[in-house]
Amino acid sequence: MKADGRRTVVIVGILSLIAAFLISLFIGNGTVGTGDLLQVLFGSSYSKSAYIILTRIRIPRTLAALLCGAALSSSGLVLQTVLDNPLASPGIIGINSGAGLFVLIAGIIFPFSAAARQLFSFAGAVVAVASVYLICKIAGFSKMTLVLTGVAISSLFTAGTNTITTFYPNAITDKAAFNLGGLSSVSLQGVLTALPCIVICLVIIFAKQGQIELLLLGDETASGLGVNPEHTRKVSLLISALLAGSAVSLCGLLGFVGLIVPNVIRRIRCEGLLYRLILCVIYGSLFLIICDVLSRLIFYPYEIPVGLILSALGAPFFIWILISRRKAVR
Amino acid sequence: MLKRIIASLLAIALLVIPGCAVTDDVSSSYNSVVALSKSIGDMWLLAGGTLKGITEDGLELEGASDVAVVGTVTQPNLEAILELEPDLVLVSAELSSHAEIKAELDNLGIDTIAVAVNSFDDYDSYMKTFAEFTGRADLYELNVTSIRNSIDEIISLVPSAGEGLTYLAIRVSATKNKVLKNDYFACGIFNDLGLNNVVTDNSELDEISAEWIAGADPDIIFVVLHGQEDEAMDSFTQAFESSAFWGELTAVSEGRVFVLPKDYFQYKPNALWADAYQYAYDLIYEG
Amino acid sequence: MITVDNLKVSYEDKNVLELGSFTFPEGKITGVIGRNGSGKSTFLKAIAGVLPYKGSLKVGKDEITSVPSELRARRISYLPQRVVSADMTVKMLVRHGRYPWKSFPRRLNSDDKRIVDDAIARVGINGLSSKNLKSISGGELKLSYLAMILAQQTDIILLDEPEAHLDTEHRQLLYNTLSSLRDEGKTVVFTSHNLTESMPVFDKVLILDRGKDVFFGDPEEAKTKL
Repeated sequence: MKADGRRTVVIVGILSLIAAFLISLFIGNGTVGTGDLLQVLFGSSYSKSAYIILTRIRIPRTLAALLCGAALSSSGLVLQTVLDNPLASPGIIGINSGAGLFVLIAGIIFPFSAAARQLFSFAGAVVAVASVYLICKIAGFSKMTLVLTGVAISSLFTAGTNTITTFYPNAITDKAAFNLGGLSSVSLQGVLTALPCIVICLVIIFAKQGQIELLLLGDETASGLGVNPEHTRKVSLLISALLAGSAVSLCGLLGFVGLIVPNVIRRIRCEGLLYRLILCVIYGSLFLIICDVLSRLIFYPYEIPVGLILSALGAPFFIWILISRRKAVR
Repeated sequence: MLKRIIASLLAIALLVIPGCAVTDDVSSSYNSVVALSKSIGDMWLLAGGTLKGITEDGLELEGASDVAVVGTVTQPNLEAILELEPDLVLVSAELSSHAEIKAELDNLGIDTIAVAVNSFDDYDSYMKTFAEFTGRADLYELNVTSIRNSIDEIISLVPSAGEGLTYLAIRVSATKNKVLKNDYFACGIFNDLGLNNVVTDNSELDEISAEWIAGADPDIIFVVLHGQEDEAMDSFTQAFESSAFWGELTAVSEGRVFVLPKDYFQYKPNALWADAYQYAYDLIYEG
Repeated sequence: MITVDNLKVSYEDKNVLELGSFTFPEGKITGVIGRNGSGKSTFLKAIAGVLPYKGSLKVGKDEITSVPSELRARRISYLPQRVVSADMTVKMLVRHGRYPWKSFPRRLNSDDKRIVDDAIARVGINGLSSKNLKSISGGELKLSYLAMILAQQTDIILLDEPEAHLDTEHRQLLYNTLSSLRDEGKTVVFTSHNLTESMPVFDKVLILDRGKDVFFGDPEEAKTKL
């Protein structure tokens, strides 16, 4: 893609993101309408409920969608690059099942506590990734081994989850919402807790993307260029886990964003890890914000699980990309 | 003499008038009430209150047909709740999604009450609170006190021979069958009526083995259907009725397996507590 | 120059390389030859800093393990035996050769871009610039990696079996390129099996057998040892 084309994609993305952000904040459907919400920022008088809705619900939720979309898709992209495997995603590496198990434990020890859930799911994600990494260090980091290890760790943690729910069936209610994924119970406090970790991790990823990209050339060539492959892989896996763990602790299990978004971007002829990362951050957030808005507006006041909308919109698009790329190559 | 009469009249007036004023103040204390489940909304209405918002399952309540919907009981929508500018929100103490909403509402300084009804006494205490808010002591009398009296009456009819009969209560749904333990309100009713639950532990484990049921051999088996009734019945038939040991059970051979109505034994009976007791009594002692 | 002094490399407690003392001269092409399994690749990897070793292995005055990897990559470049056909264009690959010279944010300036273009031209793969590595032949891939290490502009260039997958014409191009690098004063070390064609290019020869050095000296003498 020519330089102009690349720049255009970024600019279009940023503008769309700003538009989606504003729509998510201000579009109203019930008795509190768009006008009422806009009044809060720009008008002189506004109702108390409009103010509360904007500040306590809309702002945290939209920020969460922005952060989680960016975090999950960049995490997925880094994993796919480091492991040279388009099927890699936070879910496949066991992060989701690790977080899920720990969320369940949080539900038992500290029932109904959103803060405990957030902390525990984060810890679970890191534990799962560390397990996968340690096993792969011994068994090897080939594509096959990585995927299989991720499957094994996921099974292990899921078995743990199922065992616990047999003994504590009521703990599952806390976890059910987590499994489905969604942003309906996001609070400003939760967002502010996850924000520093996500931002810092994204900064580190951008700083290290040069090294990470060299891993694609194989360990020997990368070493020849001055990169320590083992060290780079360890750091990348850890940062991906922290990114995905933070996101998952906020929005539950939204597997789609970390797998499909990076793959779409990799296929749209955009070269270079730096450029792809930028697109992941922009378009990952954009996609999640749009799907979140749809999930709450279509059947207001009933919410459709956002994971459903992500798949319903994203999967056909991805299939179209696969088909059209195939034609281009031929 | 005249002074004394005037003084007495004044005294009487002073006693009566504040009473009237107090009633007025209390009944206007909460004007915008949202309930997050059918059962809780029902209780508020029974106490003489009105609702501004309720979850979807509560729309079928009398007096709730034109109340705003604020989502589903498992996932109420905080925005929809806040739009109604509530001054009191009634949530369930047993659902995590409600706990989160309660926390947020507490932060906003909106009054909330978390309700958990596992026995008639619980029902009584919440209704008492509600009636104080609505100022309808008469409705408390109607929907609680007189019901309690009916229940006590029914219990007094329990024959001493009834003490000693055992029962097993199971809740059947399309996906899972679980035994009901003594913390479940329906078991409270059966226990009050002189029966003994064969399941006496308090752990959270609830999937019972067929073998154990055969060993315990309860005198009566109560079945509560949960969720889609047809599917639940199918699941029950598959899991129990068609298995070999089922026919050997005392309760089965004596025809004492009872599928219970949801309104009394699955949902909280609220104003129908006495009816629930009566129904159970009839089943046990006259069925 | 590269100085070896009692170098030992081991793998799973076994010594796979045990070398004595010798020095590769600066600004010359040294060939490392020997049968399969004689330790040629291992030796090159040790110099490239990929493998740990015991003993002494110096580049110039510095022990290789004491040089930080990014600085080492400015002095030594390494073309391994197996190269990966990654998902990127040829031009992108060659641009990566400039990595050791850039610090964050690693934007290439006009000098870098000129170096990249020159490297591509020198290896004769101008027409492949915008092709994806996955769609070119094994030989073209090797040449692309060669262009990459040329763009790295190091004084010492190590190549492990660079002739593999190259056809006659490309092999000639390779030897010509290596010779002209030597003429520019670079130190070149490469391993080879194709002795008929590569021997004339060597200035010095190291023969390895089962992990030990059995000869180091001029090509004429080396021929007699084979």
